[in-house]
Amino acid sequence: MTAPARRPRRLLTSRGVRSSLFWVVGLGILGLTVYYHGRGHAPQRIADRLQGPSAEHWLGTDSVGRDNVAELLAGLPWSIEVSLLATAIAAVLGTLIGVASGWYGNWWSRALLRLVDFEVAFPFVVLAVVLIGVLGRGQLQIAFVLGVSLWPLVARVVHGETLQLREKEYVVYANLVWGNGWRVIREHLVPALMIRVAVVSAFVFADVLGAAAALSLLGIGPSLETPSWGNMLAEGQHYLQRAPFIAFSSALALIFLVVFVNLLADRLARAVERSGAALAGAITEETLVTEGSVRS
Amino acid sequence: MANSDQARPSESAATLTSVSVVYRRGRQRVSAATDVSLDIPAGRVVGLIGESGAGKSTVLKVLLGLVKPTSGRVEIGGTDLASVPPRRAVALRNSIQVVMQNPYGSLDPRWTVARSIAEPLRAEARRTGGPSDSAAIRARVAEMLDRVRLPAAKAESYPRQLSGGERQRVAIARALSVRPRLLVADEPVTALDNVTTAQILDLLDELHRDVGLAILIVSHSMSVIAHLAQDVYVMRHGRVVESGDTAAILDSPRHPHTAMLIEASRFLDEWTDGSDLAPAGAA
Amino acid sequence: MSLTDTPQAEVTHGPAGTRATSLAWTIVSRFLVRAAELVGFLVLLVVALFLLARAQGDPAAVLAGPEASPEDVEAIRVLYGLDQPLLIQLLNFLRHFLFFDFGTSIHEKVPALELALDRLGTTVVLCLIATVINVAVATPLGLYVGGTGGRLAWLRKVVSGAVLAAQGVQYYIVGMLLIAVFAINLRLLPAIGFDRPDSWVLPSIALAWLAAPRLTRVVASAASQVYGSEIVHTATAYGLRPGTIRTRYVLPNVMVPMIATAGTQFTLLLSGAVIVEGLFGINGLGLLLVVSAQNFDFPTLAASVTLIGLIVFAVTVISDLLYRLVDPRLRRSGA
Repeated sequence: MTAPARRPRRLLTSRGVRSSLFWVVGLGILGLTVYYHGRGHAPQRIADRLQGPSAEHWLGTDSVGRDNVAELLAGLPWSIEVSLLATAIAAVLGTLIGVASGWYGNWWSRALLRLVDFEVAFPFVVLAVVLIGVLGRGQLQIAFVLGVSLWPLVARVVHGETLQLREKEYVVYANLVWGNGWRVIREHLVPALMIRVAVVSAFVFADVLGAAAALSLLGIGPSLETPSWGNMLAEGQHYLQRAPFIAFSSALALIFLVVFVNLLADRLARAVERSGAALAGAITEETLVTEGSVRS
Repeated sequence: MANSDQARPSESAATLTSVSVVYRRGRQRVSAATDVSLDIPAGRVVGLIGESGAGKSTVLKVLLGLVKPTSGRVEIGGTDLASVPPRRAVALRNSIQVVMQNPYGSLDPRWTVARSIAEPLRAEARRTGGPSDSAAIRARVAEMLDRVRLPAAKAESYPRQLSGGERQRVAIARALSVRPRLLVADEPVTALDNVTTAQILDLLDELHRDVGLAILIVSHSMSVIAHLAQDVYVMRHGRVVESGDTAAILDSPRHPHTAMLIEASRFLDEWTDGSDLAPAGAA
Repeated sequence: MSLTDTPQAEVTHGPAGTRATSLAWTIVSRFLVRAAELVGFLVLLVVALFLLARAQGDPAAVLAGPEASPEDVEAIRVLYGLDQPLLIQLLNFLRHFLFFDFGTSIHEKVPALELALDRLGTTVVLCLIATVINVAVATPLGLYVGGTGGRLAWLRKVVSGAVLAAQGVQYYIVGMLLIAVFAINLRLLPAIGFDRPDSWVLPSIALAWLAAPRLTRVVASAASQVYGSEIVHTATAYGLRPGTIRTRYVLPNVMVPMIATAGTQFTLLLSGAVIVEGLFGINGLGLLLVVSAQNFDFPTLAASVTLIGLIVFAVTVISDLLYRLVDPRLRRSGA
């Protein structure tokens, strides 16, 4: 069932995106993030450590007696913040570089793209391990490392789109009229790219969530003073036999969040496709995979 | 190559003298245009005809500055482009406006008609330091819409709400908003149906008469050229093989290729019902 | 031709070559390009790291450890040539680097390269097995999900949804789950190490989980395109059996995107391998990388990164070739 083409302004209210459940959950997550920001760990009681689910502790307790539910809430902000920041870095950097290399298309931009190709291929965890080892494990550093690892994904897509857009008559005309490449990029290309970048970013966001948590399993996540789901998972792995609920609860939370964002991104992509605002085909997971490897 | 015997009233809108364009692609050299000389007197409609790949687009690109000629001279308004500083060259270039072939790609789908028409005006304002969102610009947009016979209500429409012919009108309005001395129309009616083609050609003719606009119309169809152009240049394989007054050439073409093109148009175009092609009025 | 077209080479002025030599030239040139990519990337990375590391503090102090005396630190500084000007240090480092001379591992006191090469095989095998599982699972699953009709049409939707959900489940969580169930509870398979064949099972499955859902969706998307095409409609109308249609029409057409995707996914698996090795206690290159980063064992770190880069390079070249072999459209030079 195809809907008639809608104005881009109505994109945000189109049926798929408007689904109220998504908004409720999404806003809820953001609200919780703001509320628990900077609050630190849940209170601990050593006497209560490593318990399973009970009436008092719905998901059990961890190795120092913190309630797992409370700890999950405490750890939520780190994941969301780091992922948002990393995605923003990747989006901005990727767009800038992608549009410049697509527009100017001379030898150095081709060389840059080749390098980008390679960076996309290069295992990002390896990059992350090395960079974090050097830069440290703070929230900013981790976000920076993740963003720097992932910008090629955005750049690839933007570059491809720019190459297509460059050939469009109205862009050729604009270039004739303005004479200045960056002016044309600002006036025509960036607005056209925004939607596509937004969709890519949504998928990237989901990946970053998973990747950020994985870092803790390698010992390069945030320090243990900062509550985070990754750290919880790492701890959970340690106590897998004695107290599986630590791992179980953090795993569930992470799965839920990632699946939620994936679904949201998917809906966004479909809504974009239906509204006809995207230029050349919909961007789905498939295009991301074939245009550039997606990491998790 | 001389065109008509009429004395030129003033300087030419644009002139190409012995222009050649050679592209390099790796180790291959492609001659897109060889020794092309073309003159568009002020206020005259000149046609450029040839098959696909004959070099028409290359000539256009040279005129518009998209491509630098490998050799030869390009003059706009009598001024040699190579001899002026870049800023002046840009200003000169902007006295030539273009309407392109594909009406479905020539307007930014995200922009309203009004915004598209205002674009060259805003660019010009930026160049001259004037205000870029003035009532003057808005008024001019409204005026242009009127000129191309589009209702003022269309100003806030989006391209996808317009037909092909309407989009071409918008493109024409956009091009003419900055009062160019030369309008280059690159196959402006090729993508349109016959009725719309006639309308657009008539519009161009009318604008030419009203404003004294010089037009370079490029087409692969002789009947389109015949409808509008006073002079015509015939191109083949990157060279001008014949040029001169349209009526004269239609009547007795000297080059076999020209004759072939005339025949082909006669055969294909129903709207002249296969009879004599109606040459443009000798104005 | 119009204003927006790019010029095509209609007239050739260059020398004519035979098709065989142009094909060979294509392969060689792509190989060289890929090699240049690798070198360029690694050099950039090394330089960036070098500068960053120096900016973080005094490496001699780090190397000497917290208990060293100022004389010890100074001795180490001289030993590692850290008293030389920065540029000299960098050039020295690069010189060694390009000759694969990584020096001795600070931690283990054996040549770093040796240490890394030892572990190389394990990681590659892990990734290979995971790739096999990936393709073996994703292809039939994708063909099913991308298909149409059948008696249990609703099942297809359920499976499709399950694949989407599976993508949200992180592979390392799957790994932990597998350990919990098969190693701890059922005591069927080992949780640690990579020596015995049955210790290969769990880590490979976990790693494959990283790539399989996506590959499945790619195959499904390609398959559904084929199934929706006119050729298949015609074939079905002619009465061809579904199985025949699948093998003759659908399968060849999904092979291309499948191989392309699986190829790019191999390097993704390398990423995951680092984590899986940590999870399952596998002595592979990934684990070595992490450990050497934690210990600031720069020689080993450099060796590991370089070897991984070489694997990526090899994989890229191979999948390039494979892709061209499979897709007849791309066999001529260009792109």
